[in-house]
Amino acid sequence: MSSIGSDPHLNLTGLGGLGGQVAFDDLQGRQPQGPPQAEALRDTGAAPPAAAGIDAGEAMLVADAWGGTPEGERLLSGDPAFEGALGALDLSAAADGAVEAILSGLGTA
Amino acid sequence: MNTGIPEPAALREAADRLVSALAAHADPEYRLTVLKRLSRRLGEEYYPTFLRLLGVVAESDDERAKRLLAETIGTALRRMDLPGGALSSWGATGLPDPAGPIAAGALSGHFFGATPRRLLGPVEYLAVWHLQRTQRTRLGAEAFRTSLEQLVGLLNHSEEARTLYPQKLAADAQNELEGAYTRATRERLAAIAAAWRAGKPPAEVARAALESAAEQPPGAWVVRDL
Repeated sequence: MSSIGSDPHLNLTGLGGLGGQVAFDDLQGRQPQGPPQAEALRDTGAAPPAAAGIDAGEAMLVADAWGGTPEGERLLSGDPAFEGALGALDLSAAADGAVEAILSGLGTA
Repeated sequence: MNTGIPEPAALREAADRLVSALAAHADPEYRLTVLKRLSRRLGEEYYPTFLRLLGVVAESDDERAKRLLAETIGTALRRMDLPGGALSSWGATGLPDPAGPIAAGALSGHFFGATPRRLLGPVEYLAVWHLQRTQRTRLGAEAFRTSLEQLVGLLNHSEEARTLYPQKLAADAQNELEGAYTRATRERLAAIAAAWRAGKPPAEVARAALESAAEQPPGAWVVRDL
């Protein structure tokens, strides 16, 4: 039985905000330009080259990440130093640092 | 040649950092903030990169990483605050909240007639991208199926996500008034929700999403999409 029905925030009206999601995440708060790393992706032609008619996002969605790595060995090694450094920061600073590091990892491809 | 797509090692590195970042603090709010800030920084154009990072973790054999990510999305579902991506939608109004002051940014081109955007959670984003006319070129069926299967498999690592996401999709599928979804999309969301709630394997959930379209009568009126 659903545990959701009796929650007044999870009725259809409440979910309207979720569907619209302008309430989830502030669109106006988004930067009109992407972050430096995202900009770098743009500059390097992130828009995929893929065959005509294929969206750039679809090319990203199907990009190979594990080619050549046998199943069972696809482990994310983790970065204890990075994790420890973030752990020493307050939560907001850690979240900011995390995002920068993730984007940096993508941008240095 | 730079294809514009990150090398496999870079994708794994970014996914690795994402998981390390989530593990750095146990606070669920912090973990959700990391995902939301990441999707926000990537922005509308690069939200598929966010989805790909989820996919890289989903494709891994790292159960701890999958649990961390799935539990964080479970938190987002409980708070109705998923890290979303924006797609254009015929029915979005973009009206400012009448209960509060109107920010100057609210009266943007979106408000004055440019194509409105809706923020969608990962599963809904894939469905709308595949099924509706948006600002992006339509997502192919195979990429939709593969990505949805990965996502469902990943989210099944959290009991909360496994329970709440199908419930959200089922509720979305019944909401005809909001305008985010066409009738075909609502049918597809309902099929995903039903298969997921029934405990079917991720591949079957993804297959159900595609099969529900095949069941539609051919030559249906265009207004079926409205």
